[in-house]
Order: sequence, then C-alpha cells, then structure tokens
Amino acid sequence: MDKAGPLKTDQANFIIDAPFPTLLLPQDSTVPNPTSTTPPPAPTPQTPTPTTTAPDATPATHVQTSLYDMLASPSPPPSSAPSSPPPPGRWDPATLARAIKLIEGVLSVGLFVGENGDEAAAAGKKSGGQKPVAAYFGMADGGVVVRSGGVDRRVE
Amino acid sequence: MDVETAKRNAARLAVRDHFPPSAAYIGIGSGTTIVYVLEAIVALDHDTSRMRFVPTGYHSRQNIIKCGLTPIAFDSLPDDVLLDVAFDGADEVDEDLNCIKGGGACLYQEKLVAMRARRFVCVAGTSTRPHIPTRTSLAFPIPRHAG
Repeated sequence: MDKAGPLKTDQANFIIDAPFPTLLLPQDSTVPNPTSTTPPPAPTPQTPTPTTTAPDATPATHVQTSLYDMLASPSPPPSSAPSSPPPPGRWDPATLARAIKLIEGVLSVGLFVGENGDEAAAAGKKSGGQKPVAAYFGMADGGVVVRSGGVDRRVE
Repeated sequence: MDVETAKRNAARLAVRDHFPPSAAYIGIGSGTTIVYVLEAIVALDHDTSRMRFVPTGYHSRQNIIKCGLTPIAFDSLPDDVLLDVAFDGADEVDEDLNCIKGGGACLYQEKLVAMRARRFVCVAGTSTRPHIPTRTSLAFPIPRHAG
C-alpha cells in the first residue's frame, strides 16, 4: 500500500509485517527433530489447539522481549518441563500467536488459529473460534475449491 | 473465466452453504470477494429488513450500505448475541485452515467479528494463497498501539 508515513489501521494502530520461518502443521508434530534423540515434548495445558502436540514455549519469558528480538532468535526457549527443546526456529501457529500477543504493545496478531466456531461451541465456550469452519477458494478457471474437515473438494 | 467470476462463484457457494435463512446478525469482512458475498445474500431474496450486518472496517461498512443492507457497529451488539455467521477473506490459508489476515489493515476488528460469530466462513479469490506445500515463510500484521 502506498502511503506517506507509517501504515495505520482504522483504529489508528500501527500495522507491521513480521516474516517468520515455516510454521508447523499438526502432522509435523509426529516428526521428531532429526538432531535430537529424545521424543517431542508432551502438550502443556495452555496449548489451545487440541489437534497439535507441537512443542510449547513458556509465554512468561517472552513478555519483555521485543518482537524483533524474538524474530531474530526464533527458537522458543526450552519449556520448563524436563523434555527436549523444540526444533530450532519452528513454531506451531497457536504457540506463535500466543507468544507474539504477549509482547508488550501488541494489540492483535494476524494469525487466526486455534479453534473454529463449532469446536469452541463443543467445548462449551461462549464466543466462537478464530478459525473458519470452511474456506471457499475461487480458482483461476472459475471453479471453486472448498476446504473443510481437512480435505479439499472441487465443487463446480 | 476470469478472477471476478471465480470470486463470485466462491461467494455464491459459501452463502448457499452457510447463510442461515433465519440469520439475524451477520459479520461482513472487507475485500473485493466479500462484496460478492453481499450480492449473493441479496440474491437469496430473503427479507433482510431485520438483518443486521456487522462490518470489520470502513470499507465493509460502505459495501453493506451500497447493497441496501443495514449495518450495525460491533460495539452496538447486545451482550448475549452471537453473529449467526461471519464471512471474510484471508491473505493465506493453510491445510489446517489457519489463516493469515490483516493485509487490509482491519485486523483488530476482523478478529473480534470472527470470534463473535458462531461460524466464520472464509471466502477467497485467487489472490489468497490456498496452499503452502513447501510451507514457506509467512508474513502477518501485528498492530501496536501508537506512541
């Protein structure tokens, strides 16, 4: 976007891009760190996404860390549990979103992760989830692909 | 077939599958694809006079009005009300439906609307990256308070 001065949102907040190394998907959690001989760490109670067992960071240790310091050293610190450290530079989306949200001054993070509305309702929560229940992609040939329940279906 | 047709088709199907006939409150995001969502809702020819559409930002509010529908500010929602559905786009969507959003600088309101809805449905045109087969780097916006 071409604009003089810093980019700001409708609510006059600054908005910045934060590039990041490849994020982990749920299927990645079963892939052991090839350099480690110990198994991946167990999920912690704070992990909001039920489908992932990716290693968690300890959020409290990031409170005073600036965003760019964190990005410069993307490896989450070892968790307090006696388990192997997570693979360097690899985060799962929910852990990353939570870690960034906790940085002082961050209002909102552009990662929509965790539960979708149906999952949140099933868990007895009052508000919906962040993730969509489905995504409809308009394709270049005019057709539509629907992604939901872990599969892509071509419709039309 | 062109990209606008693709967006229109995606929007039409998303509305067909996820717009409840008795919808009272509907979240509406910004972006060109969501304009087609509004058109598809109008094309259903339901009585929309009592429906209230919650925008995620300035442009989505204007689009709601242009389509002859009634906007309501997020802050004006009654406390116990959930949106029946929210339609919005995304910059990137991965295989697990994690989304990267915020390229249009409406991030904060977009997330509030998504979380206030019973269901969030993503409707994307060809500019959205639907696959990350090599899972390359992701960039995303992080609003910070000014000052």
